[in-house]
Amino acid sequence: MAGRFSSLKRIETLFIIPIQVLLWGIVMAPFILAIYLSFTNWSPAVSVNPLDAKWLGLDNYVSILTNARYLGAVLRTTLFALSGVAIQVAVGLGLALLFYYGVYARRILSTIMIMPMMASPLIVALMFYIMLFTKGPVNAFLSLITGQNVEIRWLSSPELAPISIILADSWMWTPLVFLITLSGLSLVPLDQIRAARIVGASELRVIKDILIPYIKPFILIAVIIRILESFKLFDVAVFMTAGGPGVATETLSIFLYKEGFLTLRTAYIAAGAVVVLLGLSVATYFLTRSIYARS
Amino acid sequence: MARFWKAVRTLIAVLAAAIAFFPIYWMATTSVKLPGEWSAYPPIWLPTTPRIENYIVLFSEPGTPLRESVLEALGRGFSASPSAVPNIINSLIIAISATVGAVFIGTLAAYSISRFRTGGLFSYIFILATRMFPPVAIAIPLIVVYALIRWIDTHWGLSLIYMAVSVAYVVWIMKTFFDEIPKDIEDSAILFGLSHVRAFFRIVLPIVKNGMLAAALFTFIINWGEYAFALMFTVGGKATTIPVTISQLQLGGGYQYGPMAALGLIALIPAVIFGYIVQKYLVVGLTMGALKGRR
Repeated sequence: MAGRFSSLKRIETLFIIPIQVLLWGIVMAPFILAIYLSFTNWSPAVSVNPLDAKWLGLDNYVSILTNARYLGAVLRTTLFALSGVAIQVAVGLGLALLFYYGVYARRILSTIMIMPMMASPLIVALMFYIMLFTKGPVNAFLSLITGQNVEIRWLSSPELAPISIILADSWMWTPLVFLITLSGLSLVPLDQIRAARIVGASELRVIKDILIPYIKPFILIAVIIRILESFKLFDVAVFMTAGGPGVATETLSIFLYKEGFLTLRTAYIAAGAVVVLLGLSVATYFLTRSIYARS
Repeated sequence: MARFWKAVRTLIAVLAAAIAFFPIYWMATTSVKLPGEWSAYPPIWLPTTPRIENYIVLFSEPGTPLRESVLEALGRGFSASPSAVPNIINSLIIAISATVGAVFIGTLAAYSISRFRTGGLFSYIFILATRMFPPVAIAIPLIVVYALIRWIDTHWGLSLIYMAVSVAYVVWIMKTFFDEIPKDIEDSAILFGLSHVRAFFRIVLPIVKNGMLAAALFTFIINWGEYAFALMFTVGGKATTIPVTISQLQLGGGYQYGPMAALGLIALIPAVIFGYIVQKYLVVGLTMGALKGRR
């Protein structure tokens, strides 16, 4: 028995080693290096060797946390993430309910509907870029149905550019929410619904009191995946608007990229990255604990 | 009456499917249009004679007779843009190797975590949290390390990064699959004299192969379209991938929309086909944890 126990011990360690090496090597070691650099004045423009950098203490943190552009980017990214997730859950769940109650040509419609999920963010950005020209197909379509000459500046007006980006992001991710919630709906036990209908409950009550509570864990999974990805929003915004006009669509990743890579104020940016990573780690902890606790 | 409502639901679903499909349609038609039609107004909804010049630019080297043959239709600006073929090959090498690596390493780790709760809650959350880190935040210090060991602009270097940032989803999906398999299966195989490692590869892995397929799809889509890391780690152009190529297809201030759309469509097709084949396992993999205690 003791021998078998030790063989179990070996396999559990053996199997976890590769992922630990990979994650510590590629993600954690650089992160720790970033923490060190964030306390110095290191910049690749001066010297790549971290040992040449001068120790600054908390200076970088003080100045990044009082940098309005940084704080604006954090706030904007959070707003984009939350409003995007809200749209995707509302539309995705709504469509899943439509399919649950039954539509004609179900297979072909659902196959078309999940196509956007397979596209990569940069290609989505390209598609929306060429559709949202001021003299592009979207405005042309709006002109057709309204009978007026519509010239909405989707990408160059500071009010509309963020909306265009959230819409492009939602176009690509709503299908995932749709797919996950639809698979949840298909598992709701029918006898409960029948019983509710027999006692005269309206369909709205059935949806609100039976279907939605039942698929809550599925909605939660969709929300977690979306939030994990949304905070990294980069590709779509950088391609469609490059963060502009002004800073209207400058997400955190774009800010860090511009300042860290293009102007090379690297140590300063490392401080900004460390703050965000700590914040996100706490958020991920609470989000994933809820899935882990369930499984 | 029931049929009336089903028709109404179908109508809404058709509208949603049209919205899901139109951007793809627009990119596809742009890829067969000549420069004058890319942003014509009113837009050309349906090109009457599809042109393949945009594809020829992508697949030919400058200076060759093949390239010269399309310059008249497309304009002289295209005489210097390099062929995209090496970059398509780069994308294939990097995305496939990263996917294979991530699925292998992640599956081992998921087994260890599912069976032995290795590292406990913290370890599992640590793995998932790595998915949430904004690429730029990891990239700043990592690029210093990569510069020292001369890994920048190599297939190997980018592939390892992709493995590290996508392995979290493999662990998540595979853990839910392993959780479903009764432990008796390996126990009896071990009782019949197989070592635990062999029991895992010969008995357990074949049972979860659908899960591995789903995990492979998810990581492939992520890695195939990844942009931020590729942008920062392939300066020099030896390992440039498709998304970076698309963003670089610019000429004298204007974008080459036709060739960009053509390359976008080429990048989209494998993901859509692969996605169509394994979509059903994907949903199962992401949501199985939510089913616990419901059956």
